[in-house]
Amino acid sequence: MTVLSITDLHVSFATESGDLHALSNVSFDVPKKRIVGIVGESGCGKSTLINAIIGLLADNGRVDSGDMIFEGRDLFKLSQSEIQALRGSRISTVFQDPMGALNPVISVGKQMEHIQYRSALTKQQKRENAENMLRRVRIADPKEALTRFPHEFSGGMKQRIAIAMALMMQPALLIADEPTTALDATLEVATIGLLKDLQEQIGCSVLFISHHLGVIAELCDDVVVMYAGEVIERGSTRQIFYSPKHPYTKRLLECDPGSQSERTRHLPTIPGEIPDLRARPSGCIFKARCHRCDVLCDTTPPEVEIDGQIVRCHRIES
Amino acid sequence: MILSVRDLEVTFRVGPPLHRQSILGVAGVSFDINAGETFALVGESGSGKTTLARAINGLQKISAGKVTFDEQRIDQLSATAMKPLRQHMAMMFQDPVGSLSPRMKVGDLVAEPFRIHSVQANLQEETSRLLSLVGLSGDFANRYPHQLSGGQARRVGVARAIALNPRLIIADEPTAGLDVSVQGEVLNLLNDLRERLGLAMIIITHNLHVVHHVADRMAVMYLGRIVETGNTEDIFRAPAHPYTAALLSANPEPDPDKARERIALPAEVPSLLARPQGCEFHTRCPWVRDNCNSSIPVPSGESRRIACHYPLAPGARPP
Repeated sequence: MTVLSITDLHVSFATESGDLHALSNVSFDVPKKRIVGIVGESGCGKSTLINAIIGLLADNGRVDSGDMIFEGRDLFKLSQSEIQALRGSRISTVFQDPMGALNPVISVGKQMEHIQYRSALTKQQKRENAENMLRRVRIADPKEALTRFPHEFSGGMKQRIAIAMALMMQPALLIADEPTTALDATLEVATIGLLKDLQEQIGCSVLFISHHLGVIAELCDDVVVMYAGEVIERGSTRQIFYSPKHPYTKRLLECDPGSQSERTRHLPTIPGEIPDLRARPSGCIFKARCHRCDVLCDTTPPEVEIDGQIVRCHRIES
Repeated sequence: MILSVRDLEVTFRVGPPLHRQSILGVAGVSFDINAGETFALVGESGSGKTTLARAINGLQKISAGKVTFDEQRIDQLSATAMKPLRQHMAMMFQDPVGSLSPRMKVGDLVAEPFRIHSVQANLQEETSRLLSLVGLSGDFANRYPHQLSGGQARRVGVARAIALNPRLIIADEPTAGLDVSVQGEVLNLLNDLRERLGLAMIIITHNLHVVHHVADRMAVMYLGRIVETGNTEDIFRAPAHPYTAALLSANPEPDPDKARERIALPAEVPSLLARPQGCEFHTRCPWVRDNCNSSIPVPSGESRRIACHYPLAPGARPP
């Protein structure tokens, strides 16, 4: 059973110097009750992908082609009001900066009541719901916490409140965009643990975006690797971390200082930059930075499947 | 010894005018840095790392303590007296693009230290020398900061920092916001320069993997105090302060099947307005004992200093 299924998605932005192809040929599924991680460096299209899913692309952005099936309905065929009805109830989001998600002049309790505006519960029941949810994200003395304002909480607590609000309506899909980047190591692992527990209790799926490979390895069931707007490899977390097939994935994992247990003064890098997305090069998108590149790479690479792991490359790593 | 910090304190006044309160952002910190050494400051956000760096550089007023740079007391100096010293003590700020003036071209930004300190030099030559040193081609000189990627902006920051051959660089989160594929480039660059020019470095970061690879020695901060200092490798092998142990155990590693023996800490970080009595970590410490909440532990030891009544044995697990 899949909750979200994306097929051949193309998204572009109109700019003064021509169309920028931010997403090209993106396909992957988010299965029910799974945590899918999206890994990729800046400019790989992670944020564009999220905005396309929740129907909030910038004014100059457009979906050129592709399907986005969420719980059996094509999101691109829904009206604005139908999509609006899904956001916050069936699909919810947590972002990097929790302060940006909370209203600074309204108490946490009021905000948590407001977010249940679609449910037919009484005010009293909504208040109880909010209190329970805060208890589940391990906020001490939740009843009292409801009367407090966002600035009275620490960064880690604010992020837990944002998670509580996102899961309040029991969504089918939670999109978490770098939710732990602003937190420190001890709080980061505590937040990941919490997210995993709640996901199991509620039974929702999570689309988890991060560039922190350690966090992805720990939390996710499946991983999608993106580069310059394309999905270049996807598979289970073990497949991606233990037998990466695409040269980019392999090099990216090597670059993480956490992957070398031996102390080294010289860290590996991937020289070069991502190509200009206004003029996508023909053939493989990674060829300019790839150490395995040859003449074959000037043609579009095929999608190869090996034990469910899907790689888009001519020169697969052995 | 190039830099010596003794019992440094920084106080902030907070709250509305009629209810002013003082908080200690940095609460008595001491350490030394030798020439050519890389020293890492780690700790949670709000633990006082950046304030400490700014206090050393004279960008933040010190309320008590001593800072000695190159055998000269610098903590009492006026802004005018401090200025010439900054040639020898460069700072790299946290936000790579934000620390560059948006109205200046890269060439002018790199030449700015020479102008500020009235150093006679062929600016054209120096600019191209510095740009090539940090791996940027000459045509970057004509670009504006908004035309740079995060990694390129960081390189410009490095070029500015090393322009006048400093003896010490203070780098505040030099890799924050950089992609992993680029992060290595910046760290390798700083390390090459350290070897070639013999400069000392203070790196502030919360990326423990980075600390492990680049730092010779490290200090762990908690609520504005250093709880443990020592050789990086020794500390990673056997952390002796419970907070260090928890911090290192929390470091997520890119290995899905790795057995993780986490030391869980209660998430409540005490407020600086209400510092706990005794050892300030006792409210979260899994190894807490009777007298921890009454007497303050004094940092002890020579090369390895630990501020704890009951330092951990190697491999200790919470009771």
